[in-house]
Amino acid sequence: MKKINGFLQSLNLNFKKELCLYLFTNLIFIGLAIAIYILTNNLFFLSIIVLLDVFCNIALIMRYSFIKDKILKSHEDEFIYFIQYLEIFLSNGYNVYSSFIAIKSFMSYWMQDRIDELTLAIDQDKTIAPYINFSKNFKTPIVSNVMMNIFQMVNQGEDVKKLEQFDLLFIRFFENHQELETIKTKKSMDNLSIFPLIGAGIITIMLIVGVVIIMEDMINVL
Amino acid sequence: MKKIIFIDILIVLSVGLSCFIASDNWILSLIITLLYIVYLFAIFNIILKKYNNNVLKYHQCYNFINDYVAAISSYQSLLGAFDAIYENFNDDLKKELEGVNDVDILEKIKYLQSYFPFHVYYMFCQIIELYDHQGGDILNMSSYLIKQVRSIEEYVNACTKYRSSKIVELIILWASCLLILIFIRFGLASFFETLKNEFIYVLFIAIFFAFLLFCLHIALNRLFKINIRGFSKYEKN
Repeated sequence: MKKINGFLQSLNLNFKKELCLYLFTNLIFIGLAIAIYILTNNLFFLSIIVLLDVFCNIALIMRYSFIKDKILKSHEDEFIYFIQYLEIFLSNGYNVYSSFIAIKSFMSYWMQDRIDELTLAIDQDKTIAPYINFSKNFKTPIVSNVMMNIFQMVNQGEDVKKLEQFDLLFIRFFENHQELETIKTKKSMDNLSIFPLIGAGIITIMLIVGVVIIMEDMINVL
Repeated sequence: MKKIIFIDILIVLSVGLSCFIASDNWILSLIITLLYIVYLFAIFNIILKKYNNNVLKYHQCYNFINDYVAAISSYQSLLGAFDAIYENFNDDLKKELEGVNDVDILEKIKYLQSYFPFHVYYMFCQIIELYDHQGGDILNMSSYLIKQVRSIEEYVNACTKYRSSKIVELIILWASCLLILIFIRFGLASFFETLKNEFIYVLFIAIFFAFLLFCLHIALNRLFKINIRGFSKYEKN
């Protein structure tokens, strides 16, 4: 139980709410199945409801991996903003350390904690290690490159020229991210076209069921 | 707001009427219509209004930052630059500033943080504060910020343009589905007469309209969701 609870917490989900969701979903299907069986006395419709219930439970379980991917992606997105904001502060005379502190207020709680860890580690360790440890929170390898570059900036002096080099190095990275963001939004809009097709599918099933009912009546008459 | 109410009426009428035509069951039609009315007023209108407000404010914020930076660089004074661009503000922004007419210019700029709740505006305020304290070249100081503000504006414009064409496409596809339902009533009249009293037929009609509502909600969330980073409760995770 503790393992499940820990897993759900890592996905920002509540164990009790999840339990309620599963109970509620299954109860709806059970109620629907009982109602259909009482009203139609047909095992075929009952089996459809049972099948739908199984699919629904599988979908509920499958969504955890989507949530996990979404969280990882949101952390990587946030890192892009972290760098963009860092650039703005650095270009206005802030040093790297004070920029980290200033950026904190613009970040999520998760990122704020990571920045706290980073600044705390920088206080105690002046090597590259805190920067590398920070990059381990992200899956994308480019994060460690960026963090190494920031460390080099700190180590070799934080002048305007270094900032320009930094900008040149990551401008494509930012543009690529913005482009991906637009593509992602467009793709999610494109996926909406599948819903009217499902709607048409429901109408088709309804017609088939209607034909079956009429044929059944005809056979009964004969 | 009038436009949103017009959209609400159009949705409720087309759903309610097509449900009645397809099922010939006024109880089901009434339930479906009420469900849609509740959804439209409780969720749909709020999301739509919030989206319009956010996009409009972002456009204003973009114009404000660009105009103000350009004005500061030519006037070399925060107050002079502000007065020079004041006429370009829309009525909402002017109204927002009415209460703070007598305060210091820096406070006035900071006061607008509640009107423009975007991260870029907060950073803009910090740059303006820095410029006020230590001087310098405002164009240089804000170059990275302007670049970011512009990139967000391009993203918002691209999404808005694409959204409009997608809405037309979805309306055509869903209208075709509703037309098929209406066709069953009039084109297959005897078939419909046999089926209309069957429980399973009425159940399918109910499932179809419930699914349509579900799709409306998904579409609303996808079409009217825009990723502008700002200080809202949704940002914190």
